This record gives sequence, structure tokens and C-alpha cells, in this order.
Amino acid sequence: MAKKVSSIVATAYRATLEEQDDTILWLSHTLKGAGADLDVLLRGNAVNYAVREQDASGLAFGDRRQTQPPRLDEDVAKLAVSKFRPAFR
Amino acid sequence: MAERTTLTLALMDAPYESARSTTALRLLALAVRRGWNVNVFAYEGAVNIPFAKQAPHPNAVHGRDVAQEAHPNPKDWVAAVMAEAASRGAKVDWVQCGLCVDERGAAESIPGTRRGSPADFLKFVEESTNTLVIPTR
Repeated sequence: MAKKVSSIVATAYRATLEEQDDTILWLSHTLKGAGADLDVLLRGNAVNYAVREQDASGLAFGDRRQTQPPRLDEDVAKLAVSKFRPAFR
Repeated sequence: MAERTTLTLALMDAPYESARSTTALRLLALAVRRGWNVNVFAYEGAVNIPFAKQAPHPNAVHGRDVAQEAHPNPKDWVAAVMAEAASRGAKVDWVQCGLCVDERGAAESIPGTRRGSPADFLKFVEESTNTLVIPTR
């Protein structure tokens, strides 16, 4: 019998600039790609991940500019396609 | 000629763990942009911020190879801020807590950092215009 995975994301923007994503959303994408039956619950501050048009661009240190800032709303949207279902309906 | 402002930061958070380490580096970068000298006392997990063996990687989930992903490593951000400080005639004096380094096997840090102890932090405080401690939670 297939096992289900429920990921609860409650700590928002945890190192997302360094990682260029949220690590649990990233893991969820990976598991989903491997065929896992997966639910994701955004709670607490992490509900903000679903807000459209977030813009984390512009980070620079000296001559080093971040070219691939996190796009968390897009990452959530991609998860929402096909197998994703909200945990609480 | 006015004396150059000197700011001391004490950092505790490890890289890739919270937003605080990036925020601290942004404060450091802003101070350097203003031409200030900045002292950093890296304590506990923060000694891994300038760890020399950090390496970028590709990201299959993002669909990007290693060059496209341009994965940021905090050691490069620190080096970039140090270079900018030098270009402005300022200095970033980055001290790694030696005991914290030993515990974590993090002895290999980028050039421009040095090993020290809490005594260095106290000296920084005494010599600085102001000090900001950014503790872990």
C-alpha cells in the first residue's frame, strides 16, 4: 500500500535567500517527482509563500549579485499541479 | 579628518539555517558601503559562514545546471564584502571563535579571516563605535 507524506511548512523564509528556495518545498518537489503521494500544509508565516508577485531580487554583496532569487509563489504553484492536494479541505 | 566609524557584529547563526545570517551580512555590507570598519566575531555555527569548502551545485528541481543556478555560497559573499571594504580604504576584521571552529571541524576558512577567542570580541567592543550582537534563537 502506498504511503502518504504530509509536509507542514511553518517556518517561513528560513535561509531561502541562500538556498534560493524553501528546503521543504524543494524536498516536496523531489519526492513528488519520485512518485510520492504528497500533501503540503502552509501554516503560520509560511502562508505568505502563496502570495503572488513576491520579489526577492536585488540581493548583492560587493560585486556578487544574486541572479536566481527564490520564487516561492511559483514553487508552491508548481506543487499544486496534478498530485498536490491541500491537507485540510 | 573625522575618525572612521567602527562597527562590531557578533554572529551566532550557521549559514543555510535562518534568515539571520543573510541579514547580518546585509548589515555588514551596508556598513562597508558607508566606508566603516567592521569587526566580526563569529561564534558557534557562524564560524561556518566563511568555511572555504562550500561549493555551488546544480539544482534539478529548478531545472538549472551549476552555472545557471549560480548557487550562492556565503563564503563568497564575505569575500566580496571584504574586497569592497578594501576598495574603500576600510577593513573587515573577521575573527573565528577557535573553540567553535574545533568543535565543528571548520578550520578551513577563506583568506582574511583569523582564529581568535572571546578576548578578541571584548577588544573589538572596547575599540568600536557600537556593537551589535545577533544571537541565535
